[in-house]
Amino acid sequence: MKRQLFATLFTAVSLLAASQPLLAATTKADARNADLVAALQAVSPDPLGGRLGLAAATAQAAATPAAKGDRNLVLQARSGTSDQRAYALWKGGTKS
Amino acid sequence: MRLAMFAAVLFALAAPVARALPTATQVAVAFKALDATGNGEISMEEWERGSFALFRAADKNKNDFIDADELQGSSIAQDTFLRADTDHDGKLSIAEFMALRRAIFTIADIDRDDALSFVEFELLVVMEQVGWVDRNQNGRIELSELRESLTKAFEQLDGDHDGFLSTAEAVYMPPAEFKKFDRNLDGKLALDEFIAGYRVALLAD
Repeated sequence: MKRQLFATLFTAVSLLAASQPLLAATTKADARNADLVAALQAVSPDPLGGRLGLAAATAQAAATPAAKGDRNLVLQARSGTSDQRAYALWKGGTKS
Repeated sequence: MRLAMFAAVLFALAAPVARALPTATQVAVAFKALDATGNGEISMEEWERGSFALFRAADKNKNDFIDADELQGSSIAQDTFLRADTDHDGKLSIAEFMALRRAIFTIADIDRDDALSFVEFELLVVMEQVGWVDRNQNGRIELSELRESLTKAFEQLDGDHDGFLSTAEAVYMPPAEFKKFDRNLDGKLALDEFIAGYRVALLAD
């Protein structure tokens, strides 16, 4: 009984220890994403691309018919999901 | 209706530079941040990754859409929003947002090699503020349109209208690039130096 308890405890500690690098990597990746967003916003505060975006959207609107809804991030990228994971999910979804 | 739409866009595109341009350091930092592989150019994959991060940052209420009120107050952004919202549901989905961002990449990829060099990215940053000339309305900068687009950019950047760009007016340009463009070494760029400099830089990519 004591041995079983020890084995369970040992497994739990091992799993926790093994998950730390993964968690650290995710945190690091999200920190990189935050730096990326800050760097992009410094040169281009409008995520829609300013005048270039306006011209692109105008050309697009003239060339393509109105779309019917599309598959979105809903249920895939909950607010708690890391940016890295959400991107991977979205990218996977667009390929399938 | 369509004429009115184009007139409104032309008016918006013709307006003077709305805010100060970023510095050369800021442009270099943004380029480096996007260029995840560090190979000196931004691939579509890297561009999409950056765009995705921008979408998530703009989606402040985390409902997986960009709503109109989540955008900054510029009228250009609001106009773009209306056009990019192709299903007219009053919000931008990730697909609509990414379609727009891909179109921006395509415009900026002047040499059509499916990657943005530093010079192309630098021009993208400038043209986001000053617009570009798309005579044939195909959503690309043709080499034949480049001269006109650069002339327009030059005129907008030349804040004191003396016909030359000082280092302060071309603040987004790295000093080494400015020196390279300044062929007669007079410390300022004339229009022909500006155009020739970019032509050479784009062909060298």
